[in-house]
Amino acid sequence: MSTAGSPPTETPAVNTGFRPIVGRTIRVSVIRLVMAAVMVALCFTIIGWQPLVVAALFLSVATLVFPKTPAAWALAALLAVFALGAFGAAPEWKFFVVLAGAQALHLFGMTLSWLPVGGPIQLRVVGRLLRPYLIIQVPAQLVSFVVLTVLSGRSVVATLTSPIFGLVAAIGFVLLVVFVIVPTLRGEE
Amino acid sequence: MSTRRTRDIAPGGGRDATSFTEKWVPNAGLVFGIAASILIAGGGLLFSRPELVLIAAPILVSVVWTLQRRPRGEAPVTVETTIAARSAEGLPYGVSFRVPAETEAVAVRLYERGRTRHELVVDPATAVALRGQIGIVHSGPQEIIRVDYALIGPQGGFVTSPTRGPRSSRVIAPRTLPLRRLPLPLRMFGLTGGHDSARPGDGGEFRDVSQFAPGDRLRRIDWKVTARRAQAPGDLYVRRSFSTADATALIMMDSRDEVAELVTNRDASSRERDVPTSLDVARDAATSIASAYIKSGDRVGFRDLAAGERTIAPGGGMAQLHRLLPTIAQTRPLGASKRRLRAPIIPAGAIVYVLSTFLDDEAARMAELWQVAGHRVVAVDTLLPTPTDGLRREQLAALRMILLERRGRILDLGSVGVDVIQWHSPDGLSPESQLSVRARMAASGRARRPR
Repeated sequence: MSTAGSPPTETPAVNTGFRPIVGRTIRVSVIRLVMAAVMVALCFTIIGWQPLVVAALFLSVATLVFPKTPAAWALAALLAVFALGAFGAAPEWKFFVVLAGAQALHLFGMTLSWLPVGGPIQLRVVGRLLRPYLIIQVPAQLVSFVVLTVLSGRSVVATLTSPIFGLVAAIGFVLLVVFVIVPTLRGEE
Repeated sequence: MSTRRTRDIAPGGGRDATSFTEKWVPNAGLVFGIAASILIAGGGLLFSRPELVLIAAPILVSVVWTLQRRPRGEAPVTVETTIAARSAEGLPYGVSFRVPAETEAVAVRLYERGRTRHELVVDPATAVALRGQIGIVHSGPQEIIRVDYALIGPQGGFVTSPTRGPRSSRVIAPRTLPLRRLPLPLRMFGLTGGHDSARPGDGGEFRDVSQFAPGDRLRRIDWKVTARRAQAPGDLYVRRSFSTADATALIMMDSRDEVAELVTNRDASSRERDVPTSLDVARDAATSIASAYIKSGDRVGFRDLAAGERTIAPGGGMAQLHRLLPTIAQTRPLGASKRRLRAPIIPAGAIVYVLSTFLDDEAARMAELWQVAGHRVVAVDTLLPTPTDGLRREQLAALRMILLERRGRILDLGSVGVDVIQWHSPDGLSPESQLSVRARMAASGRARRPR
């Protein structure tokens, strides 16, 4: 670097280790990316390639860009309508995906309203937010399964043809055991 | 809305504690959640679709759960900031939050020296002890860290408004460079001190042998010389020595401008670059010079050319050094100063250090006046390098003109006998070596002069 006047004598050290070390963290941008991916996946999985998917995608974008608006809940309502099967028939796997997705959208909407623009978020905080979701969601899935089986008079299992649902259920079960049941039992000890 | 009460829990130390009283505000998402679940469930009931009721149920349960765990009353928060002593790596700091038990997370925004911003979200247990290090570029009074925060309640359903938190400011001490040999004034006064005086007296080196006179001490009689030279009974010869004296140094700091780089309208990345300023250099130089003179037993005074109230009369001893160092450290620009009609009065026989960027005539004019008045003057150039890469032609031309004018002033100073040193020399010469050369030259000049 060429200089005029006196030459450079030392390079100042700036910003060395200013950010406090707070253990395991995840970037807020990654969380937003995950939320966006979940919302887009929900839109295409539930609505498919129909014209209304544009409205759903618009609501997804609005959820991320304008977190103070009720876009997330509007999207949940839209997906709920599209998850309905034929009248009187046993629900398809899509219903259970929307059951999980609607509460996730509620969680996204609540979280995005206070989530900072950037920076890291401690994984422990993410765990604290996800735990109530799992506690509510797993019984909700089971109750829905039983209720709809009773109401439709047919086995819902017969219509759950997608292997993805089995995979999601397995992951959900593992998460429930690891993050809810084991910590609860340890807490009681 | 929050109220605050600040107290310094370690007066004179590095800890501040600020107490806030926050109000929990429900997240708008709770209302949207209730509305959406009622809408979906209502549609299900209306059209006899139980699936819709089941989809709405988890949202409603989630909202009810959040409302059941809602924090009651106000949220007392205490933010404690700790700033430790400066180390080689920087300035260690700690921020501690004491928050209500209902808090799920704390969103923290940290400002480093009012410039860099960092955001993070942590749980309350981690927020009790946030620690990091601040890279210190500048000395003097400055804001070290500012903490803004917001509390996140259960499931994010209740939050507190973002609060502009406490600011912690400190006076960062300049760096002291060890200077072993310094120039001395042309004349020295006093009867004690660490330097030889030109006057006869006690404590100094051998001066001459002279005939005994009333007032001479008997122990000074040199019997061998008396035996050799005495021409009559009663003639006595004594060995005379020089007396010792102390030097008086006066540091004149030109704090009217604080210049980092002469060209500031550069691209955004270089504007954001935090580099030391001329005043940082001046503080370092003043501290080093004052410490060196005081430690060698001399008297040092200080005067800020811009602010008359920052003046310390010459004095010696560690008490004087403890007066000088905080005053030098707290020096900062105080706006434009008026042009002086007369230069400040300098004690007789003092050496004057003028610390300035010499970007205008004022400091150079006074240095010349003091030199012409018979004082020894050392001008310390405190301007730091200005990077020229990336400058446009007109910027480069303007920069060269300013530097040429400055060069002219410095050459004029040299022509009237002022010693000019650059604290950051283009030749890589340290201030110590430059001052040492000036001291040796002056000493040899004194040796050649007849006493």
